[in-house]
Amino acid sequence: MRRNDWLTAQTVQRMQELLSAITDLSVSSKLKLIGLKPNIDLSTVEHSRAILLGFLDRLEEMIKRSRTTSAGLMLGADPELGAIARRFLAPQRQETQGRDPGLDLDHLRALLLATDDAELPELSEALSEFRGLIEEHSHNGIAAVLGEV
Amino acid sequence: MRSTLRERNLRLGEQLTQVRSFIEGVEIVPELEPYRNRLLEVIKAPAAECARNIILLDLNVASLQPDIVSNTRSVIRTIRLLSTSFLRPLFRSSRSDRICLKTIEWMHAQHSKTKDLPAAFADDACSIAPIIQISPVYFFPCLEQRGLLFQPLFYHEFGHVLYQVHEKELDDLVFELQRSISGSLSPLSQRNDRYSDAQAADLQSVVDAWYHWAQELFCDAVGLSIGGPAFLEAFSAYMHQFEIGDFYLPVENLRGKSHPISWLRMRYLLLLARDWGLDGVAKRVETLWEETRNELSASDDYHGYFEPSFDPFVRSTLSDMLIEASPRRFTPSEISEGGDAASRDQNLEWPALLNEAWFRYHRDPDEYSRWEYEQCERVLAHRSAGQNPNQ
Repeated sequence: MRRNDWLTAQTVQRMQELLSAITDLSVSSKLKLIGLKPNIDLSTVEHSRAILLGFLDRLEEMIKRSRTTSAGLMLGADPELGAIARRFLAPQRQETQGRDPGLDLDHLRALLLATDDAELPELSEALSEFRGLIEEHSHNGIAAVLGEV
Repeated sequence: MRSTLRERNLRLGEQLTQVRSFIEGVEIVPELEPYRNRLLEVIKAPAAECARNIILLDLNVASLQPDIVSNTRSVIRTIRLLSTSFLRPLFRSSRSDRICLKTIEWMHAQHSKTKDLPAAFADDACSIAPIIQISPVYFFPCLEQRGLLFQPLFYHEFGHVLYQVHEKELDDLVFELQRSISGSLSPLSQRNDRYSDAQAADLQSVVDAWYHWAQELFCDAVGLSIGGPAFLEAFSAYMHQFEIGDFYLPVENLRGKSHPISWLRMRYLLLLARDWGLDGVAKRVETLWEETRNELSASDDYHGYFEPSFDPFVRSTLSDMLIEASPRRFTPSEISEGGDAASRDQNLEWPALLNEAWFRYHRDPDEYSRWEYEQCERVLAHRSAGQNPNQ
């Protein structure tokens, strides 16, 4: 462990938990789509869904709080998490300039809560995109904790 | 890629079997048994992931491949984390570890939310990996771990564990602190140009620093709450290095700094110590740091990362954080000096023993080593005989 790096250790653990939850839901929805019985039990899937929804709550709260400060500051969470939340702020700013809005938190939440199997392909796609974002932001922390040769 | 993934997961599964054998077979001191058992539980999950990855590969469904890659990556990371951090306490286990393990065991037992966490530590600068989902692992320097004087520094690291178990509530309090600080630093008018973006980035850098710093100051306060004078003595002695950087840093070094400048940490500890009636030790420590600051002619410019106007916000936030996390508070008897020394020495409980160590050290530094050796042997002998006199 790199010295005095309690925050990095916490962040890495949180990201690992999140990535594992994304994979559980993704595998479960893809197997369901092709008519195979998921090899993950229902309670694990529900636990994973709860982890992701909890994380989305946290990001949404940060974004909401950010909008209450005149400088658009990210407050009340570690800066790594702030950087992820900022990615969800950016598309809204960019939308007015006619750019692709990218992954949207409300839409991801709706997909996670959807009960209709017709939504499964879109859920898989959104989870894949979300995983890419988390991996991108967790790389530096993971390298700091595990070390680089 | 499928065959690569299959091969890799088979190898990772074998590696985890070896890890299990190592954990089961390594000779350790009795205080590490709960940690060994915890790790044996923890490694079940990555082993199951490897097996699941192979089952998923056998389904031959192309769309699952990114998930299998992600899962495999996760297992690799877990094994590496075990190797770089979590196996270290077992690999290095020796009889002399037992004093530090005793401190950690005692600390964990003092709080309802940490009482079931196992004790583990390894050699390094004072720090912690507060991963409570696996087990917190403390790090402590080689020299300091072999005596009593610096044991109270573990109390600070324990603060990071308390932060983890109260994360949501404490983050909310830090949010309010960051908002107050940013409010006091924001210019009265906001421009809407590149200059304004730069101002916002500077402000974000200050409040980001305070996310870290608030947790460090909270951990210092936890240390003082548990250890009383012994913590203040240990913290001051460990941190005091005649370094100008303990008092002043240029702005580029403050940006992204994970810990507040040591002088600021001392400042808030001394304020708290006086609030809690520890005037004597506070006076002695303050004199040492003031003299050093004057000797080094350190500037008190913190480049906006700290202003005296932050004081009311910081102090009330720390007070609220302590109420929320409710660490143990030292008792008057644990920090009192005097009485029949011989009978006291046989009955000292852990926090009292660590305070007595500093009293003895100041009273008679030449005799201190002999007394400390006897006390450590007493503690270890009680434990070896299956007794635990200090809980």
